Amino acid sequence: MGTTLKDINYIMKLARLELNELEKEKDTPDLNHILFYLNKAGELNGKDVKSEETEEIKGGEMGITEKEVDYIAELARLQLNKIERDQYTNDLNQILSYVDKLNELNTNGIDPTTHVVELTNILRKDREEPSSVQGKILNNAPEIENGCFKVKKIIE
Amino acid sequence: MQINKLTAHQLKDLISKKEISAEEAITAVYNRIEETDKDICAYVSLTKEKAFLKAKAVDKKIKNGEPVGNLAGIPIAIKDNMCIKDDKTTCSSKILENFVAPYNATVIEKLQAADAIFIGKTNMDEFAMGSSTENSSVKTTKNPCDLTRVPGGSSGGSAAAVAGDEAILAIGSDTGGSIRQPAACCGVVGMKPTYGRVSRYGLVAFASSLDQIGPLTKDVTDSALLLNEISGYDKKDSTSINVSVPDYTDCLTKGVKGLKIGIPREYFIEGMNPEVKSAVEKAIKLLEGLGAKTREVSLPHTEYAIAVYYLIATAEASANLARYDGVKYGYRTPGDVSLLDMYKKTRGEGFGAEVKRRIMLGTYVLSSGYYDAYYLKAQKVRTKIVEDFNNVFNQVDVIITPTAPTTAFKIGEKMADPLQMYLSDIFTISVNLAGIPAISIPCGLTGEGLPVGLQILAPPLQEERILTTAYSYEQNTKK
Repeated sequence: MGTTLKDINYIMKLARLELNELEKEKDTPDLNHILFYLNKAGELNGKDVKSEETEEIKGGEMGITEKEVDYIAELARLQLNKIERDQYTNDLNQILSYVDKLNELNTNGIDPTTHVVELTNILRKDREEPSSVQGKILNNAPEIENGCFKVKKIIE
Repeated sequence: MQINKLTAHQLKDLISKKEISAEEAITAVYNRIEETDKDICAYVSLTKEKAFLKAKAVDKKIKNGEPVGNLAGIPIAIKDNMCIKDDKTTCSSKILENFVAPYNATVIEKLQAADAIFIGKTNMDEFAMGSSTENSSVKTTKNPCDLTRVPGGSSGGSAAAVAGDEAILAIGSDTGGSIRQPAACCGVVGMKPTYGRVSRYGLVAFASSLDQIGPLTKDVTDSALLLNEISGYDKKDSTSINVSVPDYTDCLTKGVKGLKIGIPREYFIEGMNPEVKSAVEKAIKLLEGLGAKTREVSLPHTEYAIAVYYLIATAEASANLARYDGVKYGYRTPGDVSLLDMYKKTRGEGFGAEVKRRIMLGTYVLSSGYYDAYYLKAQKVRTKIVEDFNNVFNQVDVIITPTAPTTAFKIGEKMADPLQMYLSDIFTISVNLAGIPAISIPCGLTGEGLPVGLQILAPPLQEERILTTAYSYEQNTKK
């Protein structure tokens, strides 16, 4: 069993989604089904595919533990933007340590492809240009006040 | 003469000779929509008033002998994920149901400059996520060849509009096959250009490293005509390629004599529809008869393409769709709740099941501890897929495959099993991962009368090779 209902709750928090019970139950097997297939990607990078290793990816190490769920759930109750920042820092740390671990298995050193065309920074001249669409943009907002988007009070 | 059945190049010719006016052309198309779209459901919105204003203006220019654009008076349908100023752009999603675009997408600017006439916006899988157009929050589009079947997706509305003669031309977008697979299902021509050939500015982002806009047309000549107009560098899209655009109609009659065609063995798999297989093999034989040289090639990482795609595309989507938060535009949950609860409720209520599923998956694979194992690994395998194509294109000029393993499936058939739905894109996805161009052209019908799609692939920016090959096949199979 890869993804549990607890994992779904955790992912929901990360994704800021609210699913009803029916959707949660439906998405759990769906995600497992998909993740199982996606593990095929793990067969590459020069790694021997042993069934127990695949099992490990599916079940043990790759499964989201209760501790993580509680931890993230705890974080998710705090103010969002700050939490997000904290979480990214934390994520990076965890990712880096995880990269180290994977490097023991990954011997091929294949470069990842993030984009198929070579990307360079394109800078424009820093000069004023008329912008006439502000009104149209604001008209799309659910709530505006004094030329700003309006939301509920964030800081008490 | 039924004007709505004409190709764009036929209509262009008649309009320039003043035998048909732009107003007559759009009238014929709107009459056809009136008559059939209640069954086909290709359109989510029509912009009749603006279309007639534009048609009258074009007719006036023609009458006065003023210069007009290359698509003067040609009715065109636009997938509803591209912004037309002051028109609704919904992505067939509840979360954007009232969004009015404040500006034009670059393709829209270009088509406007070419004097094409926008008929309306076409239905799609919500946020272009799907292979059947069943994931639309608005309605399910039917395949004009068989109304009990899907038109494919996600550009199902655009493909159905062209196949059902409800538009002369259409524009779609293709992230994993969303132009080519519906083109195959509906029996029309669908082209995904090289990544960066067409500006994505004003296209609602799904997976930014994969998305590309392209034409859906009745024949190959129209595909070239439309590609001419929409291609080119755009300073508003930093991923657009700054390479000059050839006249894509020049290459059409070049012929395939001596052309080296690769047939990848991995694209003729167990479980594919035998009629699809034989139709494609017949097409290959025909091209051999015209002087093309074929050889078997191997793209060994093909079997990983779907896995790679559903990691990268969902990861990118989870980031791109983060902007729908009930603040700047679109749906906001009613009721007095905290901001955080507003986000969660808004997104939970505004997105459909498949979009939520993909946001969940994408968030998961990008989340702490899983990034390397899934996302980075996928990017590395993506490199292997790109290398596969580089190797094969050192040996051959183009690659030919089926567009999809099956013909159009029944409505509802694959909705219960997301993975089965994802597998519909097994032959189209690698092209997006590698950023190369590809076309799907009709190559005959099955015994049931369902269209089969032939896919032609070429190296980056070699759309001309594709068009030459496609045109040769098309002209030599004309009844």
